[in-house]
Amino acid sequence: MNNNPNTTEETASKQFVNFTLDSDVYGLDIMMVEAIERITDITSVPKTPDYVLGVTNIRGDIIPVINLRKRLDMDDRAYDDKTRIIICKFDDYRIGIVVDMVKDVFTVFEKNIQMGKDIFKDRKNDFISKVIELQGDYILVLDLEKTLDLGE
Amino acid sequence: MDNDRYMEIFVEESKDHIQILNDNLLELETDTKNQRAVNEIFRAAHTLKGMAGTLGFNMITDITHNMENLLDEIRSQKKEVTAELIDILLECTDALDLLVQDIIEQGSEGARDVTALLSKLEDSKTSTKDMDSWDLSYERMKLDQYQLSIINTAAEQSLSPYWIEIRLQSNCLMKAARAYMVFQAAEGYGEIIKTLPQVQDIEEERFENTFSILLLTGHNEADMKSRLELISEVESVRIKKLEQDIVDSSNPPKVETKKLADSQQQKTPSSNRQMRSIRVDIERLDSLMNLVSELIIIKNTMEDIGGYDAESGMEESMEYLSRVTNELHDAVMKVRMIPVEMVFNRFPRVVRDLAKNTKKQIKLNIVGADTEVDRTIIDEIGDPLIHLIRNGIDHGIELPDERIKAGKDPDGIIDLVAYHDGNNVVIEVRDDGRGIDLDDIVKSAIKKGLVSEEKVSFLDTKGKIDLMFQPGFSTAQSVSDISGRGVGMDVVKTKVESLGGVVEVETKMGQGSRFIIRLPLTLSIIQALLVQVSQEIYAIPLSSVQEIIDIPVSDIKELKGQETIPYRGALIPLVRLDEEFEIQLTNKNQKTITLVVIKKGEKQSALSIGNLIGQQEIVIKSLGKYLSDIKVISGATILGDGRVALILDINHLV
Repeated sequence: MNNNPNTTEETASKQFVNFTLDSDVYGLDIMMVEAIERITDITSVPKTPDYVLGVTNIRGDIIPVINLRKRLDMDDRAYDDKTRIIICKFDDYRIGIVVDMVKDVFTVFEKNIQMGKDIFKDRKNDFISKVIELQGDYILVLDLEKTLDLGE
Repeated sequence: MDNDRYMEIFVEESKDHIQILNDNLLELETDTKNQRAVNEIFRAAHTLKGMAGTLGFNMITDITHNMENLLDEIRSQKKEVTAELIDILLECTDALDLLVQDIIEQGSEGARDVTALLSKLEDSKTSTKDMDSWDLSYERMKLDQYQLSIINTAAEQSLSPYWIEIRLQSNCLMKAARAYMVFQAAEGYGEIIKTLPQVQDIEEERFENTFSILLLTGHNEADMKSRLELISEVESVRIKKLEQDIVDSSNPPKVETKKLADSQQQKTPSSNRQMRSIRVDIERLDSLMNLVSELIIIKNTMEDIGGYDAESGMEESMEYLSRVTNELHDAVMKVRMIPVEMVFNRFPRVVRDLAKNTKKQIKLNIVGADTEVDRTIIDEIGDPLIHLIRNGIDHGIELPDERIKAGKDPDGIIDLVAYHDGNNVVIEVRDDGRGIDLDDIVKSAIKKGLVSEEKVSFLDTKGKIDLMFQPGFSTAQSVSDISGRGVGMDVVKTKVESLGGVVEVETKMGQGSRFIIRLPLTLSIIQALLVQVSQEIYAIPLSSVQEIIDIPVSDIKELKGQETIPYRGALIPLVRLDEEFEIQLTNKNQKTITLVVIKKGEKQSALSIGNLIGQQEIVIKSLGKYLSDIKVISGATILGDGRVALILDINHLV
């Protein structure tokens, strides 16, 4: 396995954290992932959009938590023992997103990554920046910036 | 990366040097003979030049270089310190400040035109310096008792004192090295007993192109001259034999030498103090602070768990832990504390400039500059204070003849006073000017439509003063560039309030005004009232809680859709937190409700809450960038059980 992203076109690779929402498999660039936590107490915050669940205490830091299912217009689902919060880092933002399950971390060659905009015609799917083919499965890579309306 | 680090150091240090320039120029203005100030200015300009040079900031290098030239003339007393000279040097300091600001913001000097300034500097330099420099430097040779005795003893051995002036070529790169060669050569002839400037200054190249030495020797002039002229890059050498009586006559100025020594001694403590402090990145302090906060939270948790078993000694250990965490907290807070001097030290300059512009005579008294406040406050409080000072000078202090007519000293006085008062820091800006004319304020406020005429009659003194803090208010008859732009007082008020403080005003016609800013000592740990609404727990800063009351539901009156309750003989609005925050209440049919009366300045509201939990010391944490635009919540805190409680922003609930 080659973890070094600075190699030639043929062997250049990237690592992704792999999680699921229903039957869809999503990926998040591992450089953006700070931690993966079990679901904890979440304090709701008034005057926020409905997909903002609230804030939680992750080892002394206050982290806002997003209901990703709601954000992606999916039906709500009760938490179970597989539910996780992925703490993501983007610019100065630190945000937790709730997912059904975190599967694993995988490495993929750059040549197996396709740009989302080459595949989706619908603007609705703007938040998927890339699609990865991995052993016959297709993994959707989330564009965190677009998904969470950051930097506006 | 490395360059970034240098940049950081450069920015930090250049601010210090600019401050030194400002301080000492002002000192020099009041005491034009102050050699120590001249030296300080020279040193600061020189260091700035060096640092800017290495980083390639050419404009700063040019300005400081020319300042140095000018200062060198002052230092060698070829030039008198005049008001114009001080003005030019201050102008340079301002330009340097702007350039450093540019560097902070853009990483490079902005496109500023400094040529005018440079030519001003050039013009003020004496062009005829070569003609009289010799006599002057010769005359300035003040010898102390010890040196005189050496000369006298030497005379017995038929050694004579020679005054040698060496001029290096202006393009000489290693002046110190050349000077060293000159010293070497001179020492071959005899003993050097004095140099001008001092040896240390010469070694550190703190001189223009000329320096002088006093040499005791038995050799003849011509030999020495030709030998010294052989040293490369030496442009000219002038030698003069000192007659005994000249040496003697240099006795009287000795007093001045002594004074110089005195003032240098005075300086020592302050430079010692500088040595004892180090610069710490605010982020590192913050992380230390976070750790301490953690500790406090853990302590709260442990208190919550309880299980106070007297036998296990748990209670005792808890108390001990409490004490240690409290002390640690205090210690870390103190590290974050900085004397207000950091802000105050730029005010003498501000006052001087304003006094000049307004043609008023003003004395600034600063008291309590060593009062310490939190770093965050230091960063924010400067602008409001400048505004108050400007106001005091512009509107308060009268012109000198007006003051004399009123039987006052022609010098107006601005007092800037800082002190601790309980858990607060108080900063006062006082002037002994004409005071605030409340009628003028009212008239102006009516004219601007800030208040109706009918309403004014109900206003007491305080109410009238408060008009001044309304946005869009200004009493200045003509708009000056100092104050009276209609912005300002409201900005002062908002800023102070955003820091959790209040502004009070006292004024007496003909006697002056007093602006009192009261700020909390620290911003990160506060006393709060914890309340519960349904399942959610909220923290209300105790400083804005007036009272907690239980009232029967029947007391609530609805007026035009606004719920109100009677409180101390008046009606105040009722804010239902559950409705405001869209929380589902479990039991709605209560006979009485618990209300927290909150106040913000004069305004009051009653917040309906579910249950009262109690008072607790809480650590304020930010909600982070993602949720930064929620107005009603100012932050969050972590409770003993690890849950997060939101802190209400009272400013947006009253």
